[in-house]
Amino acid sequence: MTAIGLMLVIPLAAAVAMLVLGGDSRASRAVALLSPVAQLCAAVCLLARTMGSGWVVLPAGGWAAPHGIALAVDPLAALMLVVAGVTVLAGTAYSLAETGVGMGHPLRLPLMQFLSAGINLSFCTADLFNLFVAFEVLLIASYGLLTLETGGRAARHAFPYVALNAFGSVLFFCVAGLAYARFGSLGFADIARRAGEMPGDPGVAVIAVLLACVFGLKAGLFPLYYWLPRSYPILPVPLAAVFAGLLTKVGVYALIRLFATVMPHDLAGIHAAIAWVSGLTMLLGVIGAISRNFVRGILSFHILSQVAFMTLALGFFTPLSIAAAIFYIAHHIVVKSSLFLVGGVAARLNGSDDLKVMGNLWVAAPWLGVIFLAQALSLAGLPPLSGFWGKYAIAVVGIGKGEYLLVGASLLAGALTLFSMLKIWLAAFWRMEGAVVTGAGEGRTRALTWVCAAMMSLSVGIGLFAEPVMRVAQRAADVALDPGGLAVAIDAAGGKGAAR
Amino acid sequence: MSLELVILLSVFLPLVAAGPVAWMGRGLGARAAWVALPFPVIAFLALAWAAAALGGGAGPAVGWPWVPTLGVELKFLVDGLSVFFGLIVSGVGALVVIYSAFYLDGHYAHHGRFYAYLLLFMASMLGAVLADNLLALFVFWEMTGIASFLLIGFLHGEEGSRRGARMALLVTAGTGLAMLAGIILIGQIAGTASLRELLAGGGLAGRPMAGAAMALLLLGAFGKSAQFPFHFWLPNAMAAPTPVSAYLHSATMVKLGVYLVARVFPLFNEHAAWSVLVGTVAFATLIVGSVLALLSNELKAILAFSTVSQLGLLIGYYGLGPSGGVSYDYLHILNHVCYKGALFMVAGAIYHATHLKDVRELGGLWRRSRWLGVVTAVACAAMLGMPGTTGFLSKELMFKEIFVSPRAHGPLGILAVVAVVGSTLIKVAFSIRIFQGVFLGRESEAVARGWRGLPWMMLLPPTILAAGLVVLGVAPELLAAAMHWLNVPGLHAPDAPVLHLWHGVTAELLASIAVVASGLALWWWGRVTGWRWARIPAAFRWDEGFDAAVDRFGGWCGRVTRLSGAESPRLWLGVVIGAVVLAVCLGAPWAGEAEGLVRRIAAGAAAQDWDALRVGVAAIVALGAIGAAVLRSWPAQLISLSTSGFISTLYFALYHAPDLALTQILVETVTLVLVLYLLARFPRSAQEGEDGGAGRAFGRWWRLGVAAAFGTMMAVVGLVMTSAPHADPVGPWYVAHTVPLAEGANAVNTILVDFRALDTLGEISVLVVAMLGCLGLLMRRRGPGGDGGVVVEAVGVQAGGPESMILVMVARLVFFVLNAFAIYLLWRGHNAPGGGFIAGLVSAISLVMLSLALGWEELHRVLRFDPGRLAVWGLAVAALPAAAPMVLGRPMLEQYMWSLAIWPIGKLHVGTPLVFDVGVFLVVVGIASKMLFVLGKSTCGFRALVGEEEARYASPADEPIERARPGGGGGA
Repeated sequence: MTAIGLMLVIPLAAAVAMLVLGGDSRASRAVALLSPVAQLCAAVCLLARTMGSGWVVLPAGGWAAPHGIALAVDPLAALMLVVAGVTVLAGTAYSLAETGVGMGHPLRLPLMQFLSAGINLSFCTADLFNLFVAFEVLLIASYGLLTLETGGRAARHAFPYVALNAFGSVLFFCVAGLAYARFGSLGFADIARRAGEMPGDPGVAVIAVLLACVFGLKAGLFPLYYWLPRSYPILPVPLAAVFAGLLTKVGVYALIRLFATVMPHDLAGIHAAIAWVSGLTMLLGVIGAISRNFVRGILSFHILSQVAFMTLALGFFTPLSIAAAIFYIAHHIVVKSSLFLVGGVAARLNGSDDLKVMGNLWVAAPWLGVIFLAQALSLAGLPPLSGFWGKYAIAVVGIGKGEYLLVGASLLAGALTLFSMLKIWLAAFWRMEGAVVTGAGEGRTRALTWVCAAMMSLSVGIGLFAEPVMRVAQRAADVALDPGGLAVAIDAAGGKGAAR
Repeated sequence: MSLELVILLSVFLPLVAAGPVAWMGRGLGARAAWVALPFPVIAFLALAWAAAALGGGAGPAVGWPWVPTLGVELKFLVDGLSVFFGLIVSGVGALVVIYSAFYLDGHYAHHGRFYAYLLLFMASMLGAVLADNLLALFVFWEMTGIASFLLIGFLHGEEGSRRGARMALLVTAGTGLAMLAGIILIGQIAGTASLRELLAGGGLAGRPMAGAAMALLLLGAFGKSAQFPFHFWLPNAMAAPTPVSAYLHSATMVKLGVYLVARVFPLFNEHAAWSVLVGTVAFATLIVGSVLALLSNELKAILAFSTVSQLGLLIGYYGLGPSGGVSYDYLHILNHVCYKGALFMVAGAIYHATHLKDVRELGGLWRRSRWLGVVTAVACAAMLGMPGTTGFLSKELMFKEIFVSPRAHGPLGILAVVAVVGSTLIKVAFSIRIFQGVFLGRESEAVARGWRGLPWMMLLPPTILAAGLVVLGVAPELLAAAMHWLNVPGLHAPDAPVLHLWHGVTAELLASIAVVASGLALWWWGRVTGWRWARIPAAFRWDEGFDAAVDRFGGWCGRVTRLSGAESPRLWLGVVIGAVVLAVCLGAPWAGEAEGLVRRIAAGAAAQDWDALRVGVAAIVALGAIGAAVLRSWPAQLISLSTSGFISTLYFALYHAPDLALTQILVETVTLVLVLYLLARFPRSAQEGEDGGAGRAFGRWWRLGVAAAFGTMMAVVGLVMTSAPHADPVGPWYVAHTVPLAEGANAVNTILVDFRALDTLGEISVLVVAMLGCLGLLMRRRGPGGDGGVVVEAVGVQAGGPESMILVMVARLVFFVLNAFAIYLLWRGHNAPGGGFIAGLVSAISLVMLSLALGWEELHRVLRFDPGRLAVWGLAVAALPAAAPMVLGRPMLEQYMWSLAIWPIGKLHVGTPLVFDVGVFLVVVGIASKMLFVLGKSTCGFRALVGEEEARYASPADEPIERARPGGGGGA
């Protein structure tokens, strides 16, 4: 219970502490590093707890839901918190290793902590309006981070990001109002119960569709994804890694939470629509990636394609497919952010991440090459790396359901992903013409490579020891899909004003 | 020794050893081979032991669970077939490592990597042929593809290597995905992915979807074994160093497809499409491969195409196999492994000694190295099927079986006969061409110039292979015994295969003599014409077509991406909003029944209050919004929007929500001031708004349409949702319980600071972050990369304060009065309209008034603190009551109230919600005044941030945008 509170208090306290300390000092760097470590510890504790007990509920302020806000964590949320902690830790470590003390932007790390707070709150909350607030926290932090260190003409790519996400926020806000009108409450458990009591009510479907649009925008589904591919490349490397790993996945998490836990399970039409939209998105995403000629551009577009795998699994809507989606999220966050980090080190060595100028890295930085290769092949879903298992499970469910076209699309998307990764590999690592590999800052480069290596070992571990992760994912799917579980846990947690 | 140990030694030991070998290789150079050599030898010995222990029957499945939840086990099936392939893989592997030790001399770099790839490949290959679980097989299968990719690209400085590696990986991994789908289908048809259980369960031919599963599986096998139409990747894989070609691309990896076809033969051979599919593809490959081999001139290309054709033959053999099982597959495979491996090694040796690849440039090597000549002669003899080699047995038995196939298979059988006879004929021609062209005749100048000699150890491995050809060719009984020993029920015919050196004068022998004679004639003709016609026509250069398609694919993807709108930011918002509207229209179940919808809208409309005041207020708000959209100049838009905002205040008031009304009016005020300051920074030309050209007319209508559709949709949805609101909303509960539970009479405030304080905590964080983000935006990158930025032109805003003493006095007075009022609002907020938010805004407005009197610079000097810090401390204060209860093990944000008796006020209820509200107050004051300070000062020509603030809010690489202003600097 305390651990849930810690997930919010730690990043907020860390952000405030860094702002009070001011500047990019040694002390604030220590705080920046300690905070994700502490969050990670709390998240691991939560995961262990929830694996046994299912839901863990913290009534915020001691007020019982739905009058107070229930913070509720199940294995799904706990797993997301763990992976978020890992990603933020890696991003922070990379950020610290990249520049010397006093040379970094003093607001970058505090804003990252705010971002972290918003992300954690989105995973923890069991209240629709509170989820809106969480989205606001993480969005406003992301707006700040996007423009913080971006100068010149690149900054114009931030504008569509802000505009489209602001539209998403407005829509979310309106939908929260509509949901209150229809259900008379905004707690997840209450909405689930009340929506279950009005079978076939068109209002439920409309709210589900609108919320799916809001979360789909956040997740990056076609045709709501335009804000993403051109804005992420303007971010500094560690921030791009954190954004790429976590922001869209908050949307995916919200979608899973919405359709598994909050909404009735009989919305087959909407599920199917999500699956088909995902099929289209995964192809368009990977095609967009292939059309790019610089590392961050390729990786950014790819996010869409991989997100669509998760939502495709959600659209199939069986316990196994949702477990596969959850597994895929965990894998993807680690792999994607580490690929951005690897791309950053490569760009640092080559002085650019434009594929036309890069080269020589397989000779100059073999370890980086090994890391890239492992992560890239994992992204493409080649066995026995972590990306394979999720895709395999999704294909199993899809073939079982007779969705051959969608399974075909997903396999094709995998092959095209491999193609786009080959593009980077052949140009940046294998080609031996032209490019200059700088030896400057070798110590820093080595430190950065270590960060990447740590992330790689994690993803390789997920691949080789897929069974425990898959079990967590299955348990997470089972708990998330249990319609009454959350309500029971919230009632059991009690709080002031519980009796109605 | 148990079978588990065999698996560990043969599959996992080399897998684990690959890393250390790569690492050690950095210091060892070419000697790294000797570190790698023990692993294939150990694997070979372990498998030989397993073969000996087999005893002719199907072996047990051994192994470990891996991902049981997905039905994936690391189980291995040790039977005749897998052990046969395993022995080939490890045996040839050992020979190749020895060979490489001399081939990859000091002229090469990165030996460690090479042997690591080789071990990785061998382990994966052994894993693939030994795997019992089809998923495990797939895992190892793809791993061989990756190892092959790395090996083909070993000399990655060359364009050809990179292209060849890419082609191989894309083709094999792409077809591998089809195979994965096939495996999943099989799993769902049969309920198991274990080969052992599948084989024990009998054929799958009769099951539904079995044809699809078979076709998908075969697609994977055809891709891996370079069957037509995937044949083009294999010759391009020859960009790899020759030991790799000998090992992966002739002896082992490309045989995986053969292995798979053999494995599933008992499952599918009764399916109607089996013979047609396998036979057609394989025999087409046989013809295409041998013709292309004849048309090639490079030694390795000839061998590569001949490998393609031979793989077709091996696969086709299973395709036409009788349902009772085949008899001589091991013979054909072993024969090919030995002679092709030997020939590749010979080709490599020649390249090593002369740096020549083209048959036309070679000649007369017999005088240089007789031994090499003898080995080549034996291998070529086996290739063309001379008696005394296994090639003879293979060819005679193949003829014998194929000649009866027209009767069994009709047209397909005729294709088989034509393909086998024709390809044998061609094979004879290029076998002789290789030997004659390379070893006989005059020594070419290039050879004479470039001959560098050969280490004898390098010739050892091909010699061993050639010796195998001869020994088994002369004493076929040995081979027959081994084949019987490794017999696999289901795949192989139950009766023991009989092999004799001399079968007597049979039809096959006569045919064979005729074919060899014709082949000789073909070769002679080629020699006479100087092989001038030996050029692959452009129509058959599929590899070039593939590469061109791959290169063009990027452009195609660019076009699709442009079409999808991802490159046109102007469209995005419209598309997104339109998509939402569309989704609701399609997703709403009432879309079909217009009547019901109208009824609901009417009910929703009836539920609203329709008095004139409300309608008027709503109309003005709407007009303001429309004005903001329609008007062109920025100030006009701002005024229009502000009207909308201020009038909304009335709306809140009409619904008896004084707190909301107060907040709204104050927020509008502060926002208006801030935006006005922002506007002042832009030149007047920009303020006039964008010039919508004639071409934008469509865009304008499109945006109007989208906006109207979205507005209509939201209005309809809103009316429908409110037409039947929920009977039991939680809202009234707060009003009823705010005094007894939260000890405050103002329900809005108790919700904000107590019931749902977590929301508020989030929102004040948002405010603080927004402030920080704005401060970040006010900085610009220093240095060469930092062009652009916002260039502020000097604008005529009054900079200093007015001189009027009276105004200053009044402003100071108003400042104190307003702040006293703010503190009063904060204090009473729990019970009456007010609270931290409203109080903070009032306080901020007081600062605006003071600034008007004093001027920004003076005000900043007087106040002497950084309001940004105030906001941060405010957040800290608000977080305190959030975190403090957690120390006591209570839920975060739990409230504590104390009753204090203070004379003369009386009893006072204070608690942590008040502390929280003070935090909110500080955040709001801090942020509002910080933004006003920064914008106000910089607009008036002062530095927005003083020195110590810059270190707090800007990186050393940034500078405030004002400083870039031409002739800028402080003062008016």
